[in-house]
Amino acid sequence: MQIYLPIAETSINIFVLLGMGGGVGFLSGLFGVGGGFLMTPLLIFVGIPPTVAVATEANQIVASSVSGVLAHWRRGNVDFKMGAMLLVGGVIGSTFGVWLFSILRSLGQIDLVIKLSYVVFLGIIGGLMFLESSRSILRSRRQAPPKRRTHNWLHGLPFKMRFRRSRLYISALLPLTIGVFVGVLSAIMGVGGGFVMVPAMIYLLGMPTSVVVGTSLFQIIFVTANATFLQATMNQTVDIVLALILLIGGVIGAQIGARAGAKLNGEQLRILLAIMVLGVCVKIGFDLVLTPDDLYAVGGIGSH
Amino acid sequence: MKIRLTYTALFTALLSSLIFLTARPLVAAPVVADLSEHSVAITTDFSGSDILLFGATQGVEDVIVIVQGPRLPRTIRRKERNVGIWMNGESVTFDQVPSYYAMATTRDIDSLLPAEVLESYGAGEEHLIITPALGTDPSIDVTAFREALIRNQRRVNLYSQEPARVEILGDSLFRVNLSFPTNVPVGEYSVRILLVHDQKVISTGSTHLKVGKAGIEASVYNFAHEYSALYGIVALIIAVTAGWAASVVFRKA
Repeated sequence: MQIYLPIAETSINIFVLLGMGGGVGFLSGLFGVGGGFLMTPLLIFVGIPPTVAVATEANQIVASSVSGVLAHWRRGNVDFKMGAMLLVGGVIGSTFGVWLFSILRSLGQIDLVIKLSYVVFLGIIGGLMFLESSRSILRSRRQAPPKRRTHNWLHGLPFKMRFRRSRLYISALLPLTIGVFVGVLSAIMGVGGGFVMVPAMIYLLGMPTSVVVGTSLFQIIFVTANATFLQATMNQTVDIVLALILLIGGVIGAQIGARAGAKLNGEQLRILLAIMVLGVCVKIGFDLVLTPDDLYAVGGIGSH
Repeated sequence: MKIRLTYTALFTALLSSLIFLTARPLVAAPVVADLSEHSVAITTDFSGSDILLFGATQGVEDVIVIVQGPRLPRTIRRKERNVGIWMNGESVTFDQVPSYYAMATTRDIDSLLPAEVLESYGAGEEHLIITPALGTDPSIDVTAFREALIRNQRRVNLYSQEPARVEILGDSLFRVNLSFPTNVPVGEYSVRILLVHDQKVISTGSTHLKVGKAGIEASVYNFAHEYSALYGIVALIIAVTAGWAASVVFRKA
Protein backbone atom coordinates (compact mmCIF):
# COMPACT_ATOMS: atom_id res chain seq x y z
CA MET A 1 0.00 0.00 0.00
CA GLN A 2 1.56 3.23 -1.19
CA ILE A 3 1.33 6.43 0.86
CA TYR A 4 2.24 9.92 -0.35
CA LEU A 5 4.45 11.87 2.07
CA PRO A 6 3.64 15.61 2.00
CA ILE A 7 7.11 17.01 2.83
CA ALA A 8 9.27 14.30 1.25
CA GLU A 9 7.00 14.66 -1.84
CA THR A 10 7.12 11.02 -2.87
CA SER A 11 5.13 7.80 -2.43
CA ILE A 12 6.52 4.88 -0.43
CA ASN A 13 5.05 1.55 0.62
CA ILE A 14 3.70 1.98 4.16
CA PHE A 15 4.74 -1.53 5.26
CA VAL A 16 8.35 -0.91 4.25
CA LEU A 17 8.34 2.19 6.48
CA LEU A 18 6.65 0.38 9.39
CA GLY A 19 9.21 -2.42 9.15
CA MET A 20 12.13 -0.02 9.10
CA GLY A 21 10.73 1.86 12.13
CA GLY A 22 10.21 -1.40 14.02
CA GLY A 23 13.66 -2.78 13.24
CA VAL A 24 15.54 0.37 14.18
CA GLY A 25 13.30 0.87 17.25
CA PHE A 26 14.17 -2.63 18.46
CA LEU A 27 17.91 -1.88 18.24
CA SER A 28 17.32 1.45 19.98
CA GLY A 29 15.65 -0.20 22.95
CA LEU A 30 18.23 -2.99 23.02
CA PHE A 31 21.41 -0.91 22.94
CA GLY A 32 20.34 2.55 24.05
CA VAL A 33 21.46 4.05 20.75
CA GLY A 34 19.04 6.40 18.99
CA GLY A 35 19.42 4.44 15.78
CA GLY A 36 19.93 7.52 13.63
CA PHE A 37 23.14 6.17 12.14
CA LEU A 38 21.08 3.26 10.72
CA MET A 39 17.81 5.01 9.93
CA THR A 40 19.20 7.97 7.97
CA PRO A 41 21.02 5.83 5.36
CA LEU A 42 17.98 3.51 5.16
CA LEU A 43 15.56 6.37 4.49
CA ILE A 44 17.80 7.78 1.78
CA PHE A 45 18.08 4.30 0.30
CA VAL A 46 14.28 4.00 -0.11
CA GLY A 47 14.12 7.38 -1.85
CA ILE A 48 13.53 10.05 0.82
CA PRO A 49 15.50 13.26 0.10
CA PRO A 50 18.54 13.40 2.48
CA THR A 51 17.51 16.69 4.15
CA VAL A 52 14.04 15.31 4.95
CA ALA A 53 15.52 11.99 6.10
CA VAL A 54 17.87 13.66 8.64
CA ALA A 55 15.19 15.97 10.07
CA THR A 56 12.36 13.45 10.22
CA GLU A 57 14.52 10.76 11.74
CA ALA A 58 15.40 13.15 14.59
CA ASN A 59 11.67 13.49 15.33
CA GLN A 60 11.18 9.74 15.26
CA ILE A 61 14.10 9.18 17.64
CA VAL A 62 12.41 11.51 20.18
CA ALA A 63 9.48 9.09 20.29
CA SER A 64 11.47 5.86 20.49
CA SER A 65 13.76 7.39 23.15
CA VAL A 66 10.80 8.50 25.33
CA SER A 67 9.37 5.01 25.08
CA GLY A 68 12.76 3.44 25.85
CA VAL A 69 13.51 5.76 28.79
CA LEU A 70 10.16 5.02 30.45
CA ALA A 71 10.83 1.28 30.17
CA HIS A 72 14.30 1.67 31.71
CA TRP A 73 13.13 4.16 34.32
CA ARG A 74 10.63 1.67 35.73
CA ARG A 75 13.52 -0.68 36.35
CA GLY A 76 15.46 2.14 38.00
CA ASN A 77 18.04 2.20 35.22
CA VAL A 78 18.19 5.93 34.51
CA ASP A 79 20.74 8.18 36.25
CA PHE A 80 18.98 11.54 35.86
CA LYS A 81 21.80 13.49 37.54
CA MET A 82 24.35 12.06 35.14
CA GLY A 83 21.95 12.59 32.24
CA ALA A 84 21.51 16.26 33.15
CA MET A 85 25.31 16.80 33.25
CA LEU A 86 25.71 15.16 29.84
CA LEU A 87 22.84 17.24 28.51
CA VAL A 88 24.35 20.58 29.60
CA GLY A 89 27.52 19.62 27.75
CA GLY A 90 25.46 18.40 24.79
CA VAL A 91 23.69 21.75 24.38
CA ILE A 92 27.01 23.63 24.38
CA GLY A 93 28.56 21.13 21.98
CA SER A 94 25.69 21.00 19.49
CA THR A 95 25.50 24.81 19.30
CA PHE A 96 29.18 24.85 18.41
CA GLY A 97 28.61 21.92 16.03
CA VAL A 98 25.85 23.73 14.08
CA TRP A 99 28.24 26.65 13.61
CA LEU A 100 31.00 24.29 12.42
CA PHE A 101 28.52 22.58 10.07
CA SER A 102 27.71 25.84 8.28
CA ILE A 103 31.42 26.63 7.82
CA LEU A 104 32.08 23.16 6.35
CA ARG A 105 29.09 23.52 4.05
CA SER A 106 30.35 26.83 2.71
CA LEU A 107 33.62 25.05 1.90
CA GLY A 108 31.56 22.63 -0.25
CA GLN A 109 32.70 19.36 1.31
CA ILE A 110 30.14 18.72 4.04
CA ASP A 111 29.02 15.32 2.72
CA LEU A 112 32.60 14.09 2.57
CA VAL A 113 33.20 15.26 6.16
CA ILE A 114 29.98 13.53 7.27
CA LYS A 115 30.97 10.24 5.62
CA LEU A 116 34.54 10.40 6.89
CA SER A 117 33.40 11.08 10.45
CA TYR A 118 31.02 8.11 10.21
CA VAL A 119 33.85 5.86 9.05
CA VAL A 120 36.36 7.14 11.61
CA PHE A 121 34.10 7.17 14.67
CA LEU A 122 32.14 4.04 13.89
CA GLY A 123 35.43 2.27 13.10
CA ILE A 124 37.22 3.32 16.29
CA ILE A 125 34.26 2.71 18.59
CA GLY A 126 33.12 -0.51 16.96
CA GLY A 127 36.67 -1.88 16.92
CA LEU A 128 37.39 -1.00 20.55
CA MET A 129 34.09 -2.36 21.80
CA PHE A 130 34.52 -5.55 19.83
CA LEU A 131 38.01 -6.18 21.22
CA GLU A 132 37.10 -5.30 24.78
CA SER A 133 33.87 -7.28 24.97
CA SER A 134 35.27 -10.38 23.28
CA ARG A 135 38.21 -10.25 25.71
CA SER A 136 35.92 -9.98 28.73
CA ILE A 137 33.73 -12.83 27.45
CA LEU A 138 36.85 -14.98 27.19
CA ARG A 139 37.93 -13.89 30.66
CA SER A 140 34.59 -14.76 32.26
CA ARG A 141 34.74 -18.20 30.61
CA ARG A 142 38.07 -18.78 32.36
CA GLN A 143 36.41 -17.75 35.64
CA ALA A 144 39.09 -15.16 36.31
CA PRO A 145 38.12 -12.37 38.75
CA PRO A 146 37.21 -9.10 36.96
CA LYS A 147 39.82 -6.36 37.00
CA ARG A 148 39.17 -3.79 39.72
CA ARG A 149 38.70 -0.20 38.70
CA THR A 150 41.91 1.66 39.39
CA HIS A 151 42.32 5.29 40.38
CA ASN A 152 44.07 7.55 37.88
CA TRP A 153 44.44 11.28 37.18
CA LEU A 154 40.79 11.52 36.10
CA HIS A 155 39.81 10.99 39.73
CA GLY A 156 41.94 13.93 40.83
CA LEU A 157 39.81 16.48 38.90
CA PRO A 158 37.88 19.11 40.91
CA PHE A 159 34.05 19.59 41.26
CA LYS A 160 33.48 16.06 42.47
CA MET A 161 29.91 14.89 42.44
CA ARG A 162 28.18 11.78 43.70
CA PHE A 163 26.14 9.84 41.11
CA ARG A 164 24.24 7.40 43.26
CA ARG A 165 22.56 5.37 40.52
CA SER A 166 25.85 4.90 38.70
CA ARG A 167 27.67 4.23 42.01
CA LEU A 168 30.31 6.80 41.04
CA TYR A 169 32.01 9.69 42.79
CA ILE A 170 33.68 11.62 39.97
CA SER A 171 34.29 15.16 38.77
CA ALA A 172 31.29 16.83 37.03
CA LEU A 173 33.76 17.98 34.36
CA LEU A 174 33.96 14.43 32.95
CA PRO A 175 30.31 14.03 31.86
CA LEU A 176 30.25 17.70 30.78
CA THR A 177 33.23 17.19 28.46
CA ILE A 178 31.78 14.00 27.00
CA GLY A 179 28.49 15.83 26.47
CA VAL A 180 30.21 18.67 24.59
CA PHE A 181 32.14 16.27 22.37
CA VAL A 182 29.08 14.15 21.54
CA GLY A 183 27.06 17.33 20.92
CA VAL A 184 29.55 18.50 18.27
CA LEU A 185 29.48 15.10 16.57
CA SER A 186 25.70 14.84 16.61
CA ALA A 187 25.32 18.23 14.93
CA ILE A 188 27.82 17.33 12.19
CA MET A 189 26.71 13.73 11.66
CA GLY A 190 22.97 14.34 12.08
CA VAL A 191 22.48 11.66 14.74
CA GLY A 192 21.53 11.53 18.43
CA GLY A 193 25.04 10.42 19.31
CA GLY A 194 24.16 7.34 21.36
CA PHE A 195 26.72 5.16 19.61
CA VAL A 196 29.47 7.51 20.85
CA MET A 197 27.81 8.25 24.19
CA VAL A 198 27.25 4.64 25.26
CA PRO A 199 30.89 3.49 24.94
CA ALA A 200 32.14 6.77 26.44
CA MET A 201 29.96 6.22 29.51
CA ILE A 202 31.14 2.64 29.88
CA TYR A 203 34.85 3.07 29.23
CA LEU A 204 35.59 6.68 30.23
CA LEU A 205 33.18 7.15 33.14
CA GLY A 206 33.08 3.52 34.24
CA MET A 207 29.28 3.47 34.57
CA PRO A 208 27.52 0.09 34.95
CA THR A 209 26.15 -1.08 31.56
CA SER A 210 22.61 -1.45 32.96
CA VAL A 211 22.37 2.29 33.79
CA VAL A 212 24.18 3.46 30.65
CA VAL A 213 21.40 2.55 28.22
CA GLY A 214 18.57 4.38 30.02
CA THR A 215 20.71 7.42 30.80
CA SER A 216 21.91 7.70 27.21
CA LEU A 217 18.32 7.55 25.91
CA PHE A 218 17.30 10.23 28.44
CA GLN A 219 19.91 12.60 27.06
CA ILE A 220 19.09 11.72 23.42
CA ILE A 221 15.45 12.83 23.89
CA PHE A 222 16.54 16.42 24.43
CA VAL A 223 19.27 16.54 21.79
CA THR A 224 16.94 15.18 19.08
CA ALA A 225 13.99 17.33 20.24
CA ASN A 226 16.20 20.38 19.77
CA ALA A 227 17.28 19.15 16.32
CA THR A 228 13.64 18.49 15.29
CA PHE A 229 12.56 21.97 16.30
CA LEU A 230 15.49 23.69 14.56
CA GLN A 231 14.96 21.69 11.35
CA ALA A 232 11.21 22.41 11.36
CA THR A 233 11.67 26.16 11.81
CA MET A 234 14.76 26.70 9.65
CA ASN A 235 14.35 24.22 6.78
CA GLN A 236 10.73 22.91 6.95
CA THR A 237 12.12 19.42 6.37
CA VAL A 238 10.32 17.48 9.14
CA ASP A 239 7.75 15.18 7.52
CA ILE A 240 5.13 14.59 10.21
CA VAL A 241 3.40 11.82 8.23
CA LEU A 242 6.66 9.95 7.66
CA ALA A 243 7.65 10.45 11.32
CA LEU A 244 4.27 9.14 12.50
CA ILE A 245 4.59 5.93 10.46
CA LEU A 246 8.19 5.41 11.56
CA LEU A 247 7.39 6.00 15.22
CA ILE A 248 4.42 3.61 15.24
CA GLY A 249 6.91 0.90 14.25
CA GLY A 250 9.66 2.50 16.35
CA VAL A 251 7.95 2.74 19.74
CA ILE A 252 6.75 -0.84 19.58
CA GLY A 253 10.19 -2.02 18.48
CA ALA A 254 11.86 -0.08 21.32
CA GLN A 255 9.68 -1.78 23.94
CA ILE A 256 10.49 -5.25 22.62
CA GLY A 257 14.15 -4.26 22.38
CA ALA A 258 14.31 -3.08 26.01
CA ARG A 259 12.82 -6.43 27.13
CA ALA A 260 15.24 -8.43 25.00
CA GLY A 261 18.10 -6.33 26.38
CA ALA A 262 17.19 -7.27 29.95
CA LYS A 263 17.70 -10.95 29.07
CA LEU A 264 21.18 -10.49 27.57
CA ASN A 265 24.26 -9.73 29.64
CA GLY A 266 26.42 -6.64 29.21
CA GLU A 267 29.19 -8.31 27.21
CA GLN A 268 26.79 -9.92 24.76
CA LEU A 269 25.02 -6.57 24.24
CA ARG A 270 28.29 -4.79 23.61
CA ILE A 271 29.66 -7.34 21.16
CA LEU A 272 26.39 -7.23 19.15
CA LEU A 273 26.43 -3.42 19.08
CA ALA A 274 30.10 -3.52 18.05
CA ILE A 275 29.37 -5.83 15.10
CA MET A 276 26.52 -3.60 13.94
CA VAL A 277 28.58 -0.41 14.23
CA LEU A 278 31.46 -2.01 12.30
CA GLY A 279 29.04 -3.18 9.60
CA VAL A 280 27.75 0.35 8.94
CA CYS A 281 31.35 1.64 9.05
CA VAL A 282 32.48 -0.83 6.37
CA LYS A 283 29.45 -0.05 4.18
CA ILE A 284 30.06 3.72 4.24
CA GLY A 285 33.79 3.16 3.77
CA PHE A 286 33.18 1.09 0.63
CA ASP A 287 30.88 3.79 -0.77
CA LEU A 288 33.70 6.31 -0.45
CA VAL A 289 36.24 4.11 -2.23
CA LEU A 290 34.22 2.25 -4.89
CA THR A 291 33.66 4.01 -8.21
CA PRO A 292 30.05 5.29 -8.27
CA ASP A 293 27.71 4.21 -11.12
CA ASP A 294 27.28 7.79 -12.20
CA LEU A 295 30.01 10.31 -11.41
CA TYR A 296 27.49 13.12 -11.69
CA ALA A 297 24.73 13.76 -9.19
CA VAL A 298 21.95 16.34 -8.89
CA GLY A 299 22.08 18.52 -5.77
CA GLY A 300 23.68 16.66 -2.92
CA ILE A 301 24.38 19.14 -0.10
CA GLY A 302 24.27 17.43 3.26
CA SER A 303 23.53 13.98 1.87
CA HIS A 304 25.10 10.98 3.55
CA MET B 1 -16.29 18.57 -18.63
CA LYS B 2 -15.92 15.18 -20.31
CA ILE B 3 -19.21 15.63 -22.17
CA ARG B 4 -18.20 19.06 -23.42
CA LEU B 5 -14.85 17.67 -24.51
CA THR B 6 -16.46 14.88 -26.52
CA TYR B 7 -18.82 17.27 -28.27
CA THR B 8 -16.02 19.66 -29.11
CA ALA B 9 -13.88 16.83 -30.36
CA LEU B 10 -16.64 15.35 -32.49
CA PHE B 11 -17.56 18.68 -33.94
CA THR B 12 -13.95 19.47 -34.73
CA ALA B 13 -13.47 16.03 -36.15
CA LEU B 14 -16.32 16.56 -38.57
CA LEU B 15 -15.18 20.04 -39.42
CA SER B 16 -11.59 19.06 -39.97
CA SER B 17 -12.48 16.06 -42.08
CA LEU B 18 -14.54 18.43 -44.17
CA ILE B 19 -11.56 20.74 -44.58
CA PHE B 20 -9.36 17.76 -45.26
CA LEU B 21 -11.62 16.51 -48.03
CA THR B 22 -12.32 19.81 -49.72
CA ALA B 23 -9.07 21.73 -49.44
CA ARG B 24 -6.07 19.48 -50.13
CA PRO B 25 -3.31 22.04 -49.31
CA LEU B 26 -3.46 22.15 -45.52
CA VAL B 27 -4.83 25.30 -43.96
CA ALA B 28 -3.17 26.43 -40.78
CA ALA B 29 -5.99 26.51 -38.28
CA PRO B 30 -5.48 26.67 -34.51
CA VAL B 31 -5.15 23.26 -32.87
CA VAL B 32 -8.30 22.08 -31.17
CA ALA B 33 -7.43 19.82 -28.25
CA ASP B 34 -8.29 19.38 -24.61
CA LEU B 35 -7.27 17.39 -21.55
CA SER B 36 -9.60 15.01 -19.74
CA GLU B 37 -8.66 16.91 -16.56
CA HIS B 38 -6.83 20.18 -15.94
CA SER B 39 -5.45 19.30 -12.55
CA VAL B 40 -3.55 16.51 -10.86
CA ALA B 41 -4.52 16.32 -7.19
CA ILE B 42 -1.90 14.73 -4.95
CA THR B 43 -3.69 13.03 -2.09
CA THR B 44 -2.55 10.48 0.51
CA ASP B 45 -3.04 7.49 -1.78
CA PHE B 46 -1.52 9.22 -4.82
CA SER B 47 0.33 6.69 -6.94
CA GLY B 48 0.78 8.61 -10.16
CA SER B 49 -1.89 9.93 -12.51
CA ASP B 50 -3.03 9.45 -16.10
CA ILE B 51 -4.56 12.26 -18.12
CA LEU B 52 -5.96 11.93 -21.60
CA LEU B 53 -5.18 14.51 -24.28
CA PHE B 54 -7.60 14.49 -27.18
CA GLY B 55 -7.72 16.62 -30.32
CA ALA B 56 -8.25 17.10 -34.03
CA THR B 57 -5.42 16.33 -36.44
CA GLN B 58 -6.58 18.69 -39.20
CA GLY B 59 -5.61 15.96 -41.59
CA VAL B 60 -1.91 15.74 -40.70
CA GLU B 61 -0.27 12.40 -40.07
CA ASP B 62 2.03 13.36 -37.23
CA VAL B 63 1.54 14.96 -33.85
CA ILE B 64 4.08 16.00 -31.22
CA VAL B 65 2.96 16.60 -27.63
CA ILE B 66 5.34 18.24 -25.13
CA VAL B 67 4.57 18.48 -21.42
CA GLN B 68 6.78 20.72 -19.28
CA GLY B 69 6.78 21.29 -15.55
CA PRO B 70 7.81 24.46 -13.67
CA ARG B 71 11.39 25.61 -14.27
CA LEU B 72 13.80 25.57 -11.33
CA PRO B 73 17.58 25.94 -10.86
CA ARG B 74 19.51 22.66 -10.48
CA THR B 75 23.11 22.00 -9.42
CA ILE B 76 25.06 19.06 -10.85
CA ARG B 77 28.23 17.89 -9.10
CA ARG B 78 30.91 15.63 -10.47
CA LYS B 79 32.80 13.27 -8.18
CA GLU B 80 36.56 13.10 -8.45
CA ARG B 81 38.99 10.63 -6.95
CA ASN B 82 41.50 12.00 -4.45
CA VAL B 83 43.80 9.69 -2.47
CA GLY B 84 41.47 6.78 -3.28
CA ILE B 85 38.35 8.56 -2.05
CA TRP B 86 35.53 9.90 -4.22
CA MET B 87 34.68 13.49 -3.34
CA ASN B 88 32.69 16.30 -4.93
CA GLY B 89 34.72 18.23 -7.46
CA GLU B 90 33.46 20.61 -10.13
CA SER B 91 29.83 21.65 -10.12
CA VAL B 92 27.60 23.50 -12.57
CA THR B 93 24.33 25.22 -11.70
CA PHE B 94 21.76 25.48 -14.47
CA ASP B 95 19.06 28.15 -14.32
CA GLN B 96 15.50 27.39 -15.31
CA VAL B 97 15.69 23.62 -15.71
CA PRO B 98 12.26 22.08 -16.48
CA SER B 99 11.46 20.02 -13.39
CA TYR B 100 9.39 17.73 -15.62
CA TYR B 101 9.63 17.06 -19.34
CA ALA B 102 7.76 14.50 -21.40
CA MET B 103 7.47 14.33 -25.15
CA ALA B 104 5.12 11.98 -26.96
CA THR B 105 5.03 11.64 -30.74
CA THR B 106 3.44 9.53 -33.44
CA ARG B 107 6.80 8.43 -34.87
CA ASP B 108 10.52 8.73 -34.32
CA ILE B 109 11.17 12.43 -33.82
CA ASP B 110 14.19 12.71 -36.12
CA SER B 111 12.19 11.57 -39.15
CA LEU B 112 9.47 14.14 -38.43
CA LEU B 113 11.29 17.45 -38.49
CA PRO B 114 14.75 18.84 -39.29
CA ALA B 115 17.02 19.37 -36.28
CA GLU B 116 16.89 23.17 -36.40
CA VAL B 117 13.08 23.14 -36.34
CA LEU B 118 13.08 20.73 -33.39
CA GLU B 119 15.48 23.05 -31.66
CA SER B 120 13.33 26.12 -32.21
CA TYR B 121 10.39 24.34 -30.56
CA GLY B 122 12.45 22.80 -27.75
CA ALA B 123 11.25 19.39 -28.94
CA GLY B 124 13.34 16.59 -27.50
CA GLU B 125 15.61 16.53 -24.44
CA GLU B 126 18.69 17.32 -26.49
CA HIS B 127 17.00 20.48 -27.79
CA LEU B 128 15.92 21.79 -24.43
CA ILE B 129 17.20 25.23 -23.60
CA ILE B 130 19.16 24.67 -20.40
CA THR B 131 21.83 27.26 -19.74
CA PRO B 132 24.43 27.46 -16.97
CA ALA B 133 24.00 30.23 -14.40
CA LEU B 134 25.94 33.46 -14.77
CA GLY B 135 29.45 33.22 -13.40
CA THR B 136 30.01 29.57 -14.36
CA ASP B 137 33.70 28.87 -14.93
CA PRO B 138 34.10 28.99 -18.76
CA SER B 139 36.82 26.31 -18.67
CA ILE B 140 34.30 23.66 -17.48
CA ASP B 141 32.90 21.30 -20.13
CA VAL B 142 29.23 22.16 -19.60
CA THR B 143 27.97 19.59 -22.14
CA ALA B 144 28.90 16.64 -19.93
CA PHE B 145 27.07 18.23 -16.99
CA ARG B 146 24.02 18.91 -19.17
CA GLU B 147 23.92 15.30 -20.33
CA ALA B 148 24.31 14.12 -16.73
CA LEU B 149 21.38 16.32 -15.68
CA ILE B 150 19.13 14.78 -18.36
CA ARG B 151 20.36 11.27 -17.50
CA ASN B 152 19.60 11.82 -13.80
CA GLN B 153 16.13 13.21 -14.53
CA ARG B 154 15.37 10.23 -16.80
CA ARG B 155 16.44 7.82 -14.06
CA VAL B 156 13.86 9.24 -11.64
CA ASN B 157 11.16 9.23 -14.40
CA LEU B 158 10.93 13.02 -14.57
CA TYR B 159 12.13 13.17 -18.18
CA SER B 160 10.83 10.93 -20.93
CA GLN B 161 10.36 10.88 -24.66
CA GLU B 162 8.46 8.16 -26.40
CA PRO B 163 7.68 7.74 -30.09
CA ALA B 164 4.43 5.99 -31.01
CA ARG B 165 2.67 7.20 -27.87
CA VAL B 166 0.31 9.45 -29.80
CA GLU B 167 -2.44 7.48 -31.55
CA ILE B 168 -4.22 8.69 -34.63
CA LEU B 169 -7.87 7.65 -34.72
CA GLY B 170 -9.37 7.43 -38.16
CA ASP B 171 -7.91 10.32 -40.09
CA SER B 172 -9.05 13.24 -38.04
CA LEU B 173 -8.45 12.66 -34.34
CA PHE B 174 -5.43 12.08 -32.15
CA ARG B 175 -5.22 10.81 -28.61
CA VAL B 176 -2.42 10.40 -26.07
CA ASN B 177 -2.37 9.20 -22.50
CA LEU B 178 -0.08 11.38 -20.35
CA SER B 179 1.25 9.51 -17.29
CA PHE B 180 2.61 11.43 -14.33
CA PRO B 181 4.85 9.54 -11.85
CA THR B 182 4.48 9.62 -8.04
CA ASN B 183 7.38 12.05 -7.64
CA VAL B 184 5.83 14.59 -10.03
CA PRO B 185 6.82 18.13 -8.97
CA VAL B 186 3.99 20.48 -8.03
CA GLY B 187 3.25 23.62 -10.03
CA GLU B 188 1.89 24.86 -13.37
CA TYR B 189 2.46 22.62 -16.37
CA SER B 190 2.26 23.54 -20.04
CA VAL B 191 1.10 21.08 -22.70
CA ARG B 192 2.11 22.05 -26.25
CA ILE B 193 0.77 20.34 -29.34
CA LEU B 194 2.51 20.52 -32.73
CA LEU B 195 0.79 19.24 -35.86
CA VAL B 196 3.43 18.13 -38.36
CA HIS B 197 3.15 17.54 -42.07
CA ASP B 198 5.85 17.12 -44.68
CA GLN B 199 8.76 18.17 -42.41
CA LYS B 200 6.90 21.32 -41.38
CA VAL B 201 4.95 22.41 -38.34
CA ILE B 202 1.47 23.22 -39.69
CA SER B 203 -0.15 24.39 -36.52
CA THR B 204 0.55 24.71 -32.81
CA GLY B 205 -1.63 24.85 -29.77
CA SER B 206 -1.25 24.73 -26.04
CA THR B 207 -3.14 24.06 -22.90
CA HIS B 208 -2.13 23.85 -19.28
CA LEU B 209 -2.65 21.83 -16.15
CA LYS B 210 -1.90 22.26 -12.49
CA VAL B 211 -0.25 19.69 -10.27
CA GLY B 212 -0.98 20.36 -6.61
CA LYS B 213 -1.35 18.74 -3.23
CA ALA B 214 -4.91 18.32 -2.04
CA GLY B 215 -6.67 17.43 1.20
CA ILE B 216 -4.51 16.41 4.17
CA GLU B 217 -1.34 16.55 2.06
CA ALA B 218 -1.93 20.22 1.26
CA SER B 219 -2.86 21.08 4.87
CA VAL B 220 0.27 19.46 6.32
CA TYR B 221 2.51 21.11 3.73
CA ASN B 222 1.00 24.57 4.29
CA PHE B 223 1.13 24.15 8.08
CA ALA B 224 4.84 23.21 7.90
CA HIS B 225 5.66 26.25 5.79
CA GLU B 226 3.39 28.91 7.28
CA TYR B 227 3.54 28.09 11.00
CA SER B 228 6.85 26.27 11.15
CA ALA B 229 7.54 26.83 14.89
CA LEU B 230 4.09 25.54 15.83
CA TYR B 231 4.58 22.65 13.41
CA GLY B 232 7.85 21.74 15.15
CA ILE B 233 6.16 21.80 18.55
CA VAL B 234 3.26 19.65 17.29
CA ALA B 235 5.77 17.17 15.81
CA LEU B 236 7.44 16.92 19.24
CA ILE B 237 4.14 16.56 21.12
CA ILE B 238 3.13 13.72 18.79
CA ALA B 239 6.50 12.02 19.29
CA VAL B 240 6.46 12.29 23.10
CA THR B 241 2.81 11.18 23.32
CA ALA B 242 3.42 8.21 21.06
CA GLY B 243 6.47 7.17 23.08
CA TRP B 244 4.58 7.48 26.36
CA ALA B 245 1.48 5.70 24.99
CA ALA B 246 3.55 2.78 23.76
CA SER B 247 5.25 2.31 27.12
CA VAL B 248 1.89 2.43 28.98
CA VAL B 249 0.33 -0.08 26.59
CA PHE B 250 3.29 -2.40 26.93
CA ARG B 251 3.43 -2.19 30.71
CA LYS B 252 -0.18 -3.39 30.92
CA ALA B 253 0.35 -6.12 28.37
